[in-house]
Amino acid sequence: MPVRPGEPAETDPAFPFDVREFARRATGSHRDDLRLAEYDARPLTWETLRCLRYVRDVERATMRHLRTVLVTPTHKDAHITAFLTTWAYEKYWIADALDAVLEQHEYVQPPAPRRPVTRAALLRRAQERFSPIGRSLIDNTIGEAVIAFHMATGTIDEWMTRASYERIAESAEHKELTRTLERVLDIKSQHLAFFIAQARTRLRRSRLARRLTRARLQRSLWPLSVADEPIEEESFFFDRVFAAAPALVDEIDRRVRALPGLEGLTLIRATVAARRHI
Amino acid sequence: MAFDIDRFTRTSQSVQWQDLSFEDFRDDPLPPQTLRSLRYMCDVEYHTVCYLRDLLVTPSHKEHDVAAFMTMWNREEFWHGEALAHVLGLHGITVDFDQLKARRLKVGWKDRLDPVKQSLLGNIVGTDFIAVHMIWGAVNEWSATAAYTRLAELEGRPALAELLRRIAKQESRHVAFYATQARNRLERSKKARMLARFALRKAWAPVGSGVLPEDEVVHVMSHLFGGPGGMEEIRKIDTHIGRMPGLGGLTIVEDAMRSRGIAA
Repeated sequence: MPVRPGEPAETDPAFPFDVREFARRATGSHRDDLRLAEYDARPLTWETLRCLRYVRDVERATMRHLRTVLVTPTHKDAHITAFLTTWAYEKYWIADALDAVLEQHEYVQPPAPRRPVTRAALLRRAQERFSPIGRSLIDNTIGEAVIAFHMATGTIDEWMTRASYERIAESAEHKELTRTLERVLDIKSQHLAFFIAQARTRLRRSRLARRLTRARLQRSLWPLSVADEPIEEESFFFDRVFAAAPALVDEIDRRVRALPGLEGLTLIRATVAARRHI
Repeated sequence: MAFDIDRFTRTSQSVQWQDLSFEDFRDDPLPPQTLRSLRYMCDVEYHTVCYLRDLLVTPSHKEHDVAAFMTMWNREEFWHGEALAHVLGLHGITVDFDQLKARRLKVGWKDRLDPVKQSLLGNIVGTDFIAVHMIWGAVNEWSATAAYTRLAELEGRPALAELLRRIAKQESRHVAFYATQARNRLERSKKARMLARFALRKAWAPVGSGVLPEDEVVHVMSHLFGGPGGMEEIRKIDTHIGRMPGLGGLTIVEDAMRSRGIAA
């Protein structure tokens, strides 16, 4: 399901999503399938590698994400936890495949100063450390509505990573990378199918869920679970992948707005502006 | 012995049972007490994700190897649940996600405060608390390995025994991770040793207690460990614990059995 301007948003996938079938068909390591020698003959550019490194860390942040999600009522829903179990597994191996490509190029992340240790940064760190406590207390009171928010963020995360892979493949024009990323996109289409069906259903049926999701999304920036990312890396990624493709950004915003209760938002445009640090 | 996380992740699989023939259960079903124990074990496996949640509330989520292990471990345990659910299904006992959800909802407020308490404690004492989680995990995995191995011996049905042995084999790989982590962390810090000893003595209870009714805990423990040789297995777990730095002389598993009236 490519995210392309002008294309209709995907229709509701078959519902209910068969979590057991999804778990059965899980995809593990990609290492045997990667033709890494192809990169020796025609290496990727440094810019492409830099973007791949960023998106690898987004994929790899599953446990950090689960940390915030599982202390809320979301953990009570066994369908969702069963899904997240396989989701985390597949994402682990997607990140590993990107790792293999980076290793083949002996890519080293450029030394960049960590984010300055300002008062705001210290506060953020303290929040990150203690956030599950506050979240746990607040979210257990709000109840089921929180699950809708988690499913909506899951949906947006899928749209954003899909768009990233498509943009990276497009600009790299590398046959082997495109082949690998198509495989990744294929796996991730199941993740999107689950999140979007859950998000739509839950948002449609609860006013509280719509209000909560709208309010929280306005306060959050994708990617949610990546911490301590150097500003240089973040702004490089957003410049190259999103700022250079305004129509794509508008298209994802259009999709977000099509979710129940999220009319009128321009979240992605705001996210790209904030992450570019201009 | 060092734990090779890359090797573990590369070789992590969902437990297989499709090659095992459970046909004879149709004419000769498992006895009710065995089904009851299997049901308990199945529930515990599916609820692993709730323990994962507790583990991730502490600073341990910051370590890449730990995150990699947790990802695979959680999935392997989910598949143990699926395998046991299959055996139960052949006896007309359906384990579906809605029932598991109902169970988690029932646990209620107490459960809501758990991660809070744990996170507070974990964050205050920092990395030393990871040692507590690791020894906790090791004890649970030792218990799980013992439980599956015992049930395989007690029931004596070849296909079931083979499935339980396969599960036990995966559990013993989990033991290797937790025990290696626990040993290193306990060796390094006196505070970790004190905390671990305190937490195990004060708070340890058999896996599943707290999530499942106490009656069920007592049933499983007496079914598996009540008979001849049962307490011997229990003492073996305590011996493993006692070999850990700073944990010599603890008999928490035997104590938990005795306090439930289970004695050989």
